Amino acid sequence: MSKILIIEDDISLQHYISTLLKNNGYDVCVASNLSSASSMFYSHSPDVILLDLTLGEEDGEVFLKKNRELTQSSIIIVSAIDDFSKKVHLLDEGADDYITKPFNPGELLARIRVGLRKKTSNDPTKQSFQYQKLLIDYEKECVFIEDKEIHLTPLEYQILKYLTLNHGRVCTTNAILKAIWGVHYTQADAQNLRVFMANLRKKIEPNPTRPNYLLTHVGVGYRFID
Amino acid sequence: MNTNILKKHVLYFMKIVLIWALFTAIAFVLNSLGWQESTLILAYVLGSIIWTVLKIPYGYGLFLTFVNVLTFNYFFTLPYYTLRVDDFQYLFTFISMFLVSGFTSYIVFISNKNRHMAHIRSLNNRYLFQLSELLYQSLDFEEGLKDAIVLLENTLHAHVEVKIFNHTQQVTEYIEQCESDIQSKVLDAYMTAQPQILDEPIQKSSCFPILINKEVRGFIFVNDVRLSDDAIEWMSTIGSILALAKQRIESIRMEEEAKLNYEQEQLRVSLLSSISHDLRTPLASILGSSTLLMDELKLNEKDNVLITNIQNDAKWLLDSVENILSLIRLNKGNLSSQFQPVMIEDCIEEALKHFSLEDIKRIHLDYQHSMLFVNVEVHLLVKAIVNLVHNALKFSTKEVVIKTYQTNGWCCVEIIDKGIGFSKNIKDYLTDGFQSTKPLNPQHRQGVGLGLHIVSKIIDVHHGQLSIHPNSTQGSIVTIKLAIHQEVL
Repeated sequence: MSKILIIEDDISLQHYISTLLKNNGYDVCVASNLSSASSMFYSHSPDVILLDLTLGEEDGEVFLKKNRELTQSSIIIVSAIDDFSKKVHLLDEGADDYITKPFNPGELLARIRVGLRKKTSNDPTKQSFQYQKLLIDYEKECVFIEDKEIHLTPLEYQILKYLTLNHGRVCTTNAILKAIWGVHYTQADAQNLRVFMANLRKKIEPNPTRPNYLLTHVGVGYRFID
Repeated sequence: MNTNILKKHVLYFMKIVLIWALFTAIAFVLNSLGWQESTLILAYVLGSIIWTVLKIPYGYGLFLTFVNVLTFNYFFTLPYYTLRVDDFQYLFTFISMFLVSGFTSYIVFISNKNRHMAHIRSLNNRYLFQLSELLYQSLDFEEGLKDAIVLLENTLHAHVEVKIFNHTQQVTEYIEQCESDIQSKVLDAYMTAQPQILDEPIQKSSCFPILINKEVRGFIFVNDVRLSDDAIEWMSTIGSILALAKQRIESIRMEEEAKLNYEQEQLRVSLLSSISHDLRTPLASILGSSTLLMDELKLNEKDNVLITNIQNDAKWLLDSVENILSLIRLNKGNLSSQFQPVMIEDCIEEALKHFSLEDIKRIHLDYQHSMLFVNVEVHLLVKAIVNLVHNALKFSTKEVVIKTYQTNGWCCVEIIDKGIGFSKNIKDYLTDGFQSTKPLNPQHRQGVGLGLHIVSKIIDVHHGQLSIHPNSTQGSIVTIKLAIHQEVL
């Protein structure tokens, strides 16, 4: 049974999340402050950690910074702070995901599933990826929709590959740019990325106006649906 | 004034008469003691030098020397009691005596003059120092300036006036209003940035420009006195000191303003985050727990209605919190620094995340042009779209269309509904908050009437246009127009 650590200082919300997770078959432990969170983290070694940012006077970011390097567990930020720069900062600091309160229970469960998969199947030597009608052959560098090959430019392919390898996770614009253009990317590359994404959608989405595969997190980045 | 000068000259004259009498008496005494003529000459030479110590002007000193030579000749050289000179050697003695006392007194005179100048300069420096102290110690520039003017007036014995302005435009306005007799001088001082001196028998006035950041930002006027070259130079220095003091006060004020703005910004940010945290967290708990209850418990219809009410009210509260947060964001200081180029489609997609699946089914998207970039604060634009779509859904039961297209450099978003339309004066909704209408859809609670008011403010800060027209058949069309962001590709 997968273990989930909930770090949340609001008792009602703590009850709600733990009930929701227990009902869905997870083993849950809860902490209301950083010191109990640390002891739970070491004693239970959870698979996924749900981290609130404002724990009374304490800052949840401290936990992220302190433990990010120590664990392969997914750390999902669950916060009331709805600020793009904060989201980007935390994702770049190593958080696996960011959910804003109030959230949809289905969405929280989906994000937890993505977090769990990261721990079990983080395999860089994957040969292909399939989601619904989309198939990507990483070896031959080909993309198919309903067995019909789609022609992508090399950069479009690189972006799609990066997003599908991290499917389910929000990839910040910075992270995508660093992965595709290298560390010396410019502001113009950031603008180009939006155009590449739009073109990519036109090529692979059945309805580009209501994207099914490539989701935008405005101001933060992109996510390939899980 | 003239009697003073006369008195001074009479005093000088009396002094040289006294010196002459004293040394003639000494010469007579020495003569009666049987001393030689050569010694008597020295007494007169001494008499011709002593005036320099008594601060008697140079001309008087030379006159005294001349009289001394004549007196010596009259009383002590052969033939006595005449001005005749029989021995040619005496002539040489007289010339030597005249020259020695002349040169000596000249040297003493020059050194006295230098000492006087050094004294004046040190006084000037002291005044400069006092002036700087007055201007720099007072945090109120005007107050410091008043004291500085009093000091200048006492130093120069003149009427001093200082005009200093915050903007160059005020300087030109001032020149236009100046009286005609000084206007041309002030204009010259402004154009050349050099002191201008008006030295006429009736009017004596000097105008010194005050330069701040290489721009003339004020003038010092010294009236009723003729200034020496030294004083003109000194006044130019005063101009620089005033400019520096003004600059200092301006930079202190700017620093304080920046500090205050920063503190207010910090306060706003902490308020923003505390509201969002304090209200969103319990709302998350209410919404989540009620959904869980609905899913887990097999409730009868009556209980289901009760829980749905809890949820709707929580959603309504959440919506109000979001509206308040948008208002706080709108009033944020440097809002434009938060602007970023985004695709309008992405903003619409983000806005649709705020609606239930049931609502989404009623929304039809019609993107006539794709990849339309706008430079916006994303939270706010998304909020504007959410509010408009929310209204459209609330006041109609049929399909709502979101249409995007571009026209003449504008990106347009239209929200078209077939609802009840706007019954009240549209302007009331846009300009005043708290104007609300009862919703058509009973599922929705009547709002506090902030929604459209916020949309209008959001479009304003983005320099866009918001228009509302009745739909040809039924309902209304709300159009947002935003300038298309030119991408650098």
